[in-house]
Amino acid sequence: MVTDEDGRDDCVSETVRENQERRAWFRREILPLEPRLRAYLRRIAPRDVDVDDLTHDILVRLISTPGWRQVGSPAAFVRTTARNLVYDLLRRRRVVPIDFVADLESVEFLDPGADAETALIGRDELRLLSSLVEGLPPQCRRVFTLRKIDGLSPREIAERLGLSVSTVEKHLVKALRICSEGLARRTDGHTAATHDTRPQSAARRRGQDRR
Amino acid sequence: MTPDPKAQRDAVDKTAAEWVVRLATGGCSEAQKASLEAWLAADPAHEVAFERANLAWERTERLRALAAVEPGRAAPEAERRRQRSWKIPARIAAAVAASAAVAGGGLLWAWGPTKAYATAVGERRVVVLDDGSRVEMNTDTRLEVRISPTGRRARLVRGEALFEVRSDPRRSFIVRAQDEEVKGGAKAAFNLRLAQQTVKVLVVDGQVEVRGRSGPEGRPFESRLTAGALGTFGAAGAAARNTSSGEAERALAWRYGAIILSGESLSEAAAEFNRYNVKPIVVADPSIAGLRLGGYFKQADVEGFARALQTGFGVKAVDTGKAIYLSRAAPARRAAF
Repeated sequence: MVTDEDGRDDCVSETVRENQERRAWFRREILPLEPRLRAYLRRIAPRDVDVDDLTHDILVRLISTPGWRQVGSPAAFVRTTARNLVYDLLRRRRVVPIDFVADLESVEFLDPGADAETALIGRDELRLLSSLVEGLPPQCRRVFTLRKIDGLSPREIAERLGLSVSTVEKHLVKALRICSEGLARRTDGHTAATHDTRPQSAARRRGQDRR
Repeated sequence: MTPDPKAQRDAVDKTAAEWVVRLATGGCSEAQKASLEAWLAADPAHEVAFERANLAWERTERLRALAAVEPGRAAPEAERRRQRSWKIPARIAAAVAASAAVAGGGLLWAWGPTKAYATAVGERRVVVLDDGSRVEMNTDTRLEVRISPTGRRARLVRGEALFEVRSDPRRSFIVRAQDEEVKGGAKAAFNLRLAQQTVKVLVVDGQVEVRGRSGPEGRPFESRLTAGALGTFGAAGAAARNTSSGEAERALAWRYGAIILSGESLSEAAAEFNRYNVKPIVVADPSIAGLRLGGYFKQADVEGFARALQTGFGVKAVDTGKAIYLSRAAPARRAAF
């Protein structure tokens, strides 16, 4: 839908734009599902596999999807990619407990009706964000608040607080990383309960079968 | 995998966050942007880290809506500009501004200086009034406020704003929009929207009283609305009903830059996007105007909305640079997933 007005755009900027669109798709459609992807992996991944590493590998695979424009349901796409990667892991092992594979199929990625939108806008997120900001070290919190809530530029913040601009940027980077981690892992915390009823029972069943 | 993937990820995350902080400040040169693109192209893991930081930066915008801002922190932009451009001492300027308000505003505005606040298309802003009440202003909104020792009055000239009233038993808080006056009770919070000669009041917290002239046959009326109620007042008369929490949340999604659709028609959705963007969406084909849509979008992301329509609804979008035209697409192939 982007039209070249003069058709003179060279290949380089064409590639850049294509990449930007792909990344925007990933940011908008896929990333909001990260907390649920983590929750899903915690249930289906072999116990000795690091969920952080696995999540990262899957996200890298997802952002590299050449046919991203054809992905109709991001949730189904994330689930399929995650499951395939776990199957790959299992296939490389010599002994795979048979009930484990059966359970893989029964674990739901999403409750029907729950979607990326509700994950993104839930009230919990606002509560989580404010608690993340409250937990920042004092100076870091001051800088971040002036930037994000008062909309001051790093230079203005530097003047007001008597810091250098690069120190202000360091505080912003730190605050951003803490918020980013907190948002990506939020199912570890209080929102887990709303989505987890079925997967939890599946996990419990798996535990019983083993015994 | 490298020996220590976590340490490596940590370093990449840090670089990504630095880029996002720098880009948000603006003023990145073309050369810097090119070097960012090169860094991103080097490894999809860089892309993941960058977009995660990007999304987190976007989401923390929501904090703006929560902030307990201290009074005086958000000085009225219009006032500051006026004083600066007149190049005379601030005190004199304020006095002149006050008398100008009296001359222009008539009797209703006869006491105390009137302060005007405005937002441009696509802009949002939080204002703390002199009495400590908070106002969040949506896109393309103009508000005039006069706080005196005896009363608190505001007029919503156009647009949409959310008012959080600071309790004060001695002074009532009244916002006028068109012919309606909305009086906020103690600690009341209400969203007021003025569009197409219709005033909509959504009560978020506490209660409000509405007085106006849109009763039957234009007669005066009074009604009291409590939290969750949505009152509609205008030429078509007055009506009030209760909203679901989901509906209320959708109506207030603008506070964090979002548009949430839940069964609205394509033409309604286009009108909503057009409130926030200079580049309009034009529904060029009447046969698709009634499509019912759902989803969460960023107000400014017209392109993303158009893309969602193309992938999910069999709509073709043509972006001419000045406007986006929507029409029915040729029968679409099924998506792969």
